[in-house]
Amino acid sequence: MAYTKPNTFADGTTLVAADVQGNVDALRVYLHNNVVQADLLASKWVDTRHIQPPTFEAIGGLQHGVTGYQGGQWSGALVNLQFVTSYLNGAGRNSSTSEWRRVPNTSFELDLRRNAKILLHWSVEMEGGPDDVPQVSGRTPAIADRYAYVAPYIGTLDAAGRSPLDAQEIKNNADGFRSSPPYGPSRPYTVCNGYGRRTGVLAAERNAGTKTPVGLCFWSQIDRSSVVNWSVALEVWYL
Amino acid sequence: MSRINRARIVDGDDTTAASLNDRFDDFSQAGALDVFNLRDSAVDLPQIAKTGFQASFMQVDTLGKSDLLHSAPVTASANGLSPPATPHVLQDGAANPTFATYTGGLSVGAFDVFRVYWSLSVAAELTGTPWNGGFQFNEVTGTGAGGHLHVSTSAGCFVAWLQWDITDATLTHWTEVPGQSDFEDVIAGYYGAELADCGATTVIPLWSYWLRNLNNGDASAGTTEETNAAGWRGISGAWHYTGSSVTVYGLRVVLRGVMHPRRASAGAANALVNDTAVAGGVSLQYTGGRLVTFVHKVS
Repeated sequence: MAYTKPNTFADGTTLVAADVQGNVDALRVYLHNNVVQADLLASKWVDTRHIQPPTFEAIGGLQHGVTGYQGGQWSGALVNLQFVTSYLNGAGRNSSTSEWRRVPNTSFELDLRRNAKILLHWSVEMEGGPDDVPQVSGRTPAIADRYAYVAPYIGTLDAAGRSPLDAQEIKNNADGFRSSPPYGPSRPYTVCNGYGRRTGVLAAERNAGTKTPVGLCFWSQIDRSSVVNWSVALEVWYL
Repeated sequence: MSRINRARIVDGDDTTAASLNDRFDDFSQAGALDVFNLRDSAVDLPQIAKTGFQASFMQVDTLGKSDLLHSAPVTASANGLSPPATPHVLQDGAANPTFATYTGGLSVGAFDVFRVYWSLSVAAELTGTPWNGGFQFNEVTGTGAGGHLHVSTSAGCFVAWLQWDITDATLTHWTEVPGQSDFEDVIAGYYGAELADCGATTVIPLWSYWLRNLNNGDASAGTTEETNAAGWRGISGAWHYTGSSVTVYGLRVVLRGVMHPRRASAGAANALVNDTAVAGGVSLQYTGGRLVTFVHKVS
């Protein structure tokens, strides 16, 4: 319905600030929520050039050009695993500052329309190992000391876009495999031992006019760990 | 429809009821929302040069110590005192506390939301058999050769929670954030907090315990206990505040343990209370993490 001021003023009465503010507040509410078609001029008065066109990226699940929540994705279940592995990090023996790799399918590209504050909410649920490959001094950590690290990144995988302070670990299921029944991992995958869900938030500010990749990366000392579930949700604040 | 373009009131003008009413009735006219009164004064990203009025503040701080490979982590001891000692404040390994400060104070208005996200890497350090002390176990009655058995609940934990200073920039008036207890409420003779008062708490498990070769639930002679201290892993927490205006000068994460679930009596609220009996065998190691502060308007 059209705007109707809640307070009408009359000569000879005291002007109360709350009444004026009440009318202003009602106008604000009306303009934000209650405009109906009849309130608008019937003839055309807005063209597309007056509105910034956002773009929706169906596969990536993102709507670029809006301020605030832009979208994200999750994937998982035991039939749709991703894997991270030390074999992509030089068997885990190289520098933890340079050998990071992207977690498959978790990267997105943000079309930044102007300078922005970015919040990247992420989670992964992983099984680490068991990796009972014998330790080689100087090349691999002891079996019980192997970890797979997952970190969010914005921009690049080097120190400019990723920090070890944002990385979170998954432990190797340390004792390897049993050699007698019941076969399988020696220790159960509990929350304390080789299995877990990790969540975090990466915050950063970036400038307009750049196509900015964001997502999850890893550095692993374990031969293979399965990413059972993952999620990324993105907020981009322009204003 | 005409353009709504009413001159502002200046000294010497008469303010009458009619003129005041007209200022609001302008928007009650049919078709008032048109090219002049809405389109050209509308707000979309291209029209706004100013930034930071919707999401007004974002800050990232370091917690703990940057030590990805855990070469020299920081240790937080468990509390063995009643009433408990002050909680452990996260530090950088050189006895310097790590927390967020806001120059001049961070103003959070009545229409703002103050959002906090944090993370940290932690690991339990155990000596002896703390899972078999205090009230960390249940006694299982067995009829086999193994007899009775103390089975750990594996519920022993550290807690991490948020404190802020909303008094002044001296940062000497730390208090728990709204919805959060200091874990010093007395619950059936122990110090802790009911779960309803743990709004800014993250629970950190310390070990897992299981039995191998348990014979139909009976602890027989072949049954062995297996225990595994919780290895290094990332933990995280999140909290938000809306309500009365407040100025925040500092924000930090503190730790205390060993806690265990308990309640005052049957039907009473569930709680986490401090089990001081096992303090000597438990500590929590940690390295680094992040503390993210974000403020934006919700109305």
